[in-house]
Amino acid sequence: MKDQQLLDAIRQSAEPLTPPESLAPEQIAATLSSRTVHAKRTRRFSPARAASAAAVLLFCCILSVVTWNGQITSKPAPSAPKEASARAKRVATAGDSTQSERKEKTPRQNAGSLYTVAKSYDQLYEILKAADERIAREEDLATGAIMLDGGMETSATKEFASDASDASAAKKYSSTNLQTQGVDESDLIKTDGRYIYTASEQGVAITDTAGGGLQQAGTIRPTLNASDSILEFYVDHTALLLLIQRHQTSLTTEATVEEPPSPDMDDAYLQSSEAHKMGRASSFQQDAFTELCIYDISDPAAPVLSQTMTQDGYYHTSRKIGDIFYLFTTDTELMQSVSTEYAKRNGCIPLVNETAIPYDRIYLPERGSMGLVLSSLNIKEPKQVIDSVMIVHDYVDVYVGTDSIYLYHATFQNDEALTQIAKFQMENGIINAVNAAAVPGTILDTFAIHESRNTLRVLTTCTDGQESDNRLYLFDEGLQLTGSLTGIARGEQIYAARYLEDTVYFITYRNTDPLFAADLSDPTHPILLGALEITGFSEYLHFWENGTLLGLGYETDPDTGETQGLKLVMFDISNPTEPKTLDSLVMKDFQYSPALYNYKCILADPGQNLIGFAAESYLSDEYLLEYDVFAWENGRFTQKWSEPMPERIAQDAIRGLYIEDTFYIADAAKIRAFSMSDGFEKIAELEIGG
Amino acid sequence: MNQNLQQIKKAKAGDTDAFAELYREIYLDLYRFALYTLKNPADAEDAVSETVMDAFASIRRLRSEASFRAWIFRILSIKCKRRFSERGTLCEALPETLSDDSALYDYAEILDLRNQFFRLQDDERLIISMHIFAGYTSQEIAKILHKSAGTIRSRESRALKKLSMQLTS
Repeated sequence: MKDQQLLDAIRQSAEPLTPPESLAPEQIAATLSSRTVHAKRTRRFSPARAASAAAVLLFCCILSVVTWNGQITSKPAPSAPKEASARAKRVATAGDSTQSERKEKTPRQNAGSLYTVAKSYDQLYEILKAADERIAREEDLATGAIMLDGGMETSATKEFASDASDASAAKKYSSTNLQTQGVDESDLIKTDGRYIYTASEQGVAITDTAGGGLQQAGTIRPTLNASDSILEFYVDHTALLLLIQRHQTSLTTEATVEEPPSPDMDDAYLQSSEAHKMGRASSFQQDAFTELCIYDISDPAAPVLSQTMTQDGYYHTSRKIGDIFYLFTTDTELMQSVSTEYAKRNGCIPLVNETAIPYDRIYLPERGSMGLVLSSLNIKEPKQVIDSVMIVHDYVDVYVGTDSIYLYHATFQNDEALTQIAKFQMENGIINAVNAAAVPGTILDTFAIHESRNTLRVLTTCTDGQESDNRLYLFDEGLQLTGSLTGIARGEQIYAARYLEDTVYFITYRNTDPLFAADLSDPTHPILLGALEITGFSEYLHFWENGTLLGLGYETDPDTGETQGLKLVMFDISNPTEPKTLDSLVMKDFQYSPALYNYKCILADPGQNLIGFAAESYLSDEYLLEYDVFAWENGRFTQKWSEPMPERIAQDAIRGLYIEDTFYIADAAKIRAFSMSDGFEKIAELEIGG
Repeated sequence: MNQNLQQIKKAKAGDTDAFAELYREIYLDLYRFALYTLKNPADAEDAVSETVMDAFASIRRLRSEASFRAWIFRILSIKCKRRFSERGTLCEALPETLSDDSALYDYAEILDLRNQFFRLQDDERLIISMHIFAGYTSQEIAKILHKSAGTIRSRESRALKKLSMQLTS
C-alpha cells in the first residue's frame, strides 16, 4: 500500500468511533457554563478512568490473574527442577563457553512463581503461542489464582552505597541527576569538568571549555543507516559509551527458507513451529537491536572506537554501577516467531553479541508476549558479556537499586489493581532471580519504589471504586513482606516521593497538597510521622540541605482544582513529625516543565545553590520556552536567570550544567555559557556542527 | 469561516455556547486523535476534556483567530505527549473493544488495521495522528514536537512501512 492510501485507511478506520457522552458538545457547553468541572481532578485519577476501570480491564494483557482478598499470603514454592544446560543444541560462539561453564556451577533460582526458569525453548514457544491465540481471540481475562509464592533464597547483605543524599557539595561540576546515587545513568548531555559532551542525531560532539571559551574539540560520528538513531551515552574517564538504536532490515525469500535451521536453535522448537509449514515468504523484516559503542576518548580530538556490543530489541534503559554496565532492551518481535517464516530461519531467541540467550537464562511467566533482555558487561573488559537473561512479560517497568534490579507491573482484576514485583540480584554483573511478591495498588511515581540495604520499600495507590488510599510496604532481603501501613490519605493519590535513610517523604493530592513523612526504621512497623497541607501539588521532590526538601509541581485553585502555573516549594523537614513550608514561588504563565516527569531535566544542586529547568508556556498563541535558574537565599526562592530558548528545540533535551563558575545551557545544536559571578552574563556561545 | 471568526470572538468574550459550537466542528477529530494516540478510551476522554477546559480558559490569549483549530490541536498534542511521560507505570492497553458503529463497515479489516496501528510506538502514533486528524504538515508537526521536519517525515514513513509490513504478513 502506498503511504497516502494507508493514511487514508487509518483515518477511515477511526470514523466509526463514537466519543463518550461526556465529550458531546452539549455536555461540554453545560460543563463550561457551570465551571464546576474543575473540581474534578485534572490528572491521572478521573471519573473517566474510574468509570471505565472495568473496560480497561479488557484491554490489559494480564500477566497472571489474581484473586485478591486483601491479605498478603506467602508460602514457599517447590524448588524448580533444574537441568544441566550443557545439552543445549547450540553452537557456542566466542565467549559463550565460559558462560556455560559458569552456568553449570550456579543453580538457577526462580523469581518466586512469577517468573520461572525455562526448561527448554519449547516452553517459551508455548507461552508465545498462547499469547498469540489470546490476542487473536480477543480473549477476556478474568479468572485465575494469585501468584504470591515465596520460594526464595536469602541473598547476602552487602555493604550498600548510601543513597538519596546529595553528594554534590564537593564537586566543581554538575553530573546527571540520578534516580539512585551510585548507579549511573545515560543521558544526552554530560560533562567531565572540562569537556561538554552533547548527543545529536549524528553522534556526539565534544566541546572544550578550557580557558572559559567554547571550542569544538572532536566528534564521534558512527555510521548510521536512515532508520538508526543515537540514544544516550555515558562518560567514564577516558571511555565514552554510546548507545545506538539500530534496525536490521532483511528480505526473507524462498531460497533462504530452504536453508537448514540455524544451529543456534533448539530442534524441538523448530519442529513444533507452525511457521515451518507456512511456505512462501518474501517479506521485509525489520529487527530492532541496540548497539553499545565504546570509544576511547583519551584524545578528544580523535575518539577511537574500541569495542561494540549488540543486543536485540528496542532500548529500554541502562545503568552503570562501577565498571559494570547493564543494558535492558525490549524484544517486541518475539510474537512474530509464532507465525512468520522469518522466525524459522533466524530463530526468535534474542541475540546478545550474536549469541542466542540460552533457554535456562530465560524466565517465563504464565503469560507473556514480549521479552525484556538484560545483559551485563565489564567496560574494562568489554570483549565478553558477563551474563545475559531474558524475562518474558507483557509490560514491565524497571527499577535498579544499588544491589538489585526490580521489575514491576500492574495487573488488574475487577476494580482492584495489584503490582507484581520481581527481584533479581546482580553480583558483579551476574544476574539471579531472588523472589517475587505482589502488593495491592499501583506504583505511580518513579521514586515511590526504593531499595535501601538490599531491602525494598514501595508506596502504592489503591483505587478501588471511587475511594482511593495509599499504602506503604516494606520487604526484607528475600522480598518477603515485613511490614505495611495502609489507609494513608484516603481519596488521594501519590504524586511524588523520596526516601532519605529511614524516612520517606511523599506527596498525595486531591485539592491540596499534603506532604507526608513516615518512619521506616522498624521494618515491621512503619509509622506515619506527620503531614502538611498546602495548595497545589509537587510532581518531583529533591533533598536540599539542612533538613529541607525541594518540590517542583503545580499551584492549583483549592476550590476548583484548576492548575495555575508551575510552582516551586521548599519544605522544612528538620522535624519530620511537623513538616513546614518555608517558601513557594508560582510561575503563573508557565504550564509545563520537562523536569516534572524526567528527573534528568532538572539541575538541583544545593552545594552550588542552583535550581535550573526549562519551562514552557503553550496556552497562549505565543509559544514560549525558556530556561530558568533559581537560588535558595535567606529562606526565599530567587530567580537568578532566565534564558529564552528557540522554539524548535526538544525541551526534554535541554540541560543546564556548570563547571566551576560558568553555567551552561546545552542542547543538541548549541551550547551557551554564562558567568555566574557576573550576573549570568553570556560569555560564549557555540553552534555544534551537525 | 466568517461565521467561525464571529464564534471565536464571542468565545473570547466568555460565551460558552459559541465555544461549544466551535468545539462541535472538531470534537470528533479531537477524540479520534486522542484515542489513536493514547490507545485507551479513558485516557482519550481525559485528554480531550482537559484540552477543552484549558482552551476555554485561555482562548482570550489566542490572538490570531484563524488558527483556532491548529491551536487547540497543539494543546491536545502536547497533552498526549505529556501522558506518554507520565504513564510509565500504567499497563499497556490493547483496545480491542471500542465503542463504535463498525457494523456499517468491514469490521474485521478495520479491527486489524487498528490493532496493527496500536502496535506502533508512541511517537509514531502521535506523528501520524497529528498528520491525519489534526491536518498538520510535517513542518507544523516538527515545530510542535521540536524536531526537524526531515526527522518527522522519516519517522512517519518508517512507521507506515512497518504498518504495511504487518498488514501483509
